[in-house]
Amino acid sequence: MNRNDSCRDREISETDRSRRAFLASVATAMGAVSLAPGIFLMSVGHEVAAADEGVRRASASVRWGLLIDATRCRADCDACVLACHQENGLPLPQSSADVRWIRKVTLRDPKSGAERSFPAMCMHCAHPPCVDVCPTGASFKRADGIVLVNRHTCIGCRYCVMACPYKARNFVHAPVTTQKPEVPRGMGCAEGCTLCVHRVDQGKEPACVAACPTGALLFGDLNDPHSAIAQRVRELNARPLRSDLKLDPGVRFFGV
Amino acid sequence: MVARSRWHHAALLRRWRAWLVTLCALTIAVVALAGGPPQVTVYPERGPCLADAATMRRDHPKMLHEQKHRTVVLGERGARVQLAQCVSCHAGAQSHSVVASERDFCRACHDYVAVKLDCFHCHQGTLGTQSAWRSGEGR
Repeated sequence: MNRNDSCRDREISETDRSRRAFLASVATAMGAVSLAPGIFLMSVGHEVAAADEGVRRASASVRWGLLIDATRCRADCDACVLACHQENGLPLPQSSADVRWIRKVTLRDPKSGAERSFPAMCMHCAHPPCVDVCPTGASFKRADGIVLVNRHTCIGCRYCVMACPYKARNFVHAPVTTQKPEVPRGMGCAEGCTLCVHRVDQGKEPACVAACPTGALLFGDLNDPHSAIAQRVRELNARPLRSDLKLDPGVRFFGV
Repeated sequence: MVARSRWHHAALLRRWRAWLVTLCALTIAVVALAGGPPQVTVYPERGPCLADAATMRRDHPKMLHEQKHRTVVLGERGARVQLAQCVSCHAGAQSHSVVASERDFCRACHDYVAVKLDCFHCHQGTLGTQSAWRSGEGR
């Protein structure tokens, strides 16, 4: 009697388990469809379309970053600035109203008189204030950590220019006719360093990095512990500027 | 006196009506001969377009609208639909542009249908503008 009961119990429990598993999978599927049907279907659609065309996309597994070694940067050199302006079709700045995606900064310790010169640009923060304040969603962070302005949605309100603690955003005041085909830009939009996104997507490094004669700039994937940049950041304990703001910038500095 | 004046007015009106009819007929004839969508030059030697002309005429805004999100936000490069590719095929032989002159590919139609063409405020609509930088070293 007892044995029979326990047998039946086990049979029931096994049947139950398979039923439960089935119900759980159905419930999960239903939940996914009913909770976020738009998001779910859209993400599947995009994946399928991208796979069909064999198109590569910005991947969230990558975090592009820069390491700026100020101890190697020469005060009299502006190769990175020139390279940026050439690569992105920016006119060389004449007045304070002209755009600067990258600029040379000189820090001087008033007590010792020691000076350090290094380039500064958009820090490509993981928690970018420019994205937080953008009223239209034009300022955005790509999956691979590059912070960009979508000029199709930018209304030129300049909130991002005010919000950026690194003063990395610019505003285009005058009509532009000398754009490069791969770097569209025009009047009435905010803009900043794109980390040469058009080059990065082709597997190249940003123009400033390629132009640096002393190797003070290093570009790579901060997420990959074996990448040159990740190793060097670890080795030098390179820190971001204003790390107290906790924005987790993708641009790290050493010797500042 | 009054009667003669009325007759005089009626004659004037008839003459004006004749003039008006002639003018209308002339206008219609001119529009019929010179009007219609602008004839833009295509360059078959530059390769085939993404689709036939009717489809492109109807759907190119939709194609570009969909692609801009994919390229800018998702980072897809080398897509089938690319504005730079449109420019390189459709740029005029003299102007090397799709917007510089009234007869250029994009502008001719957009002027005709009175639809504002915003793309080339930011995108480069003229070929060869980049050549000065392209020839530079280090790229």
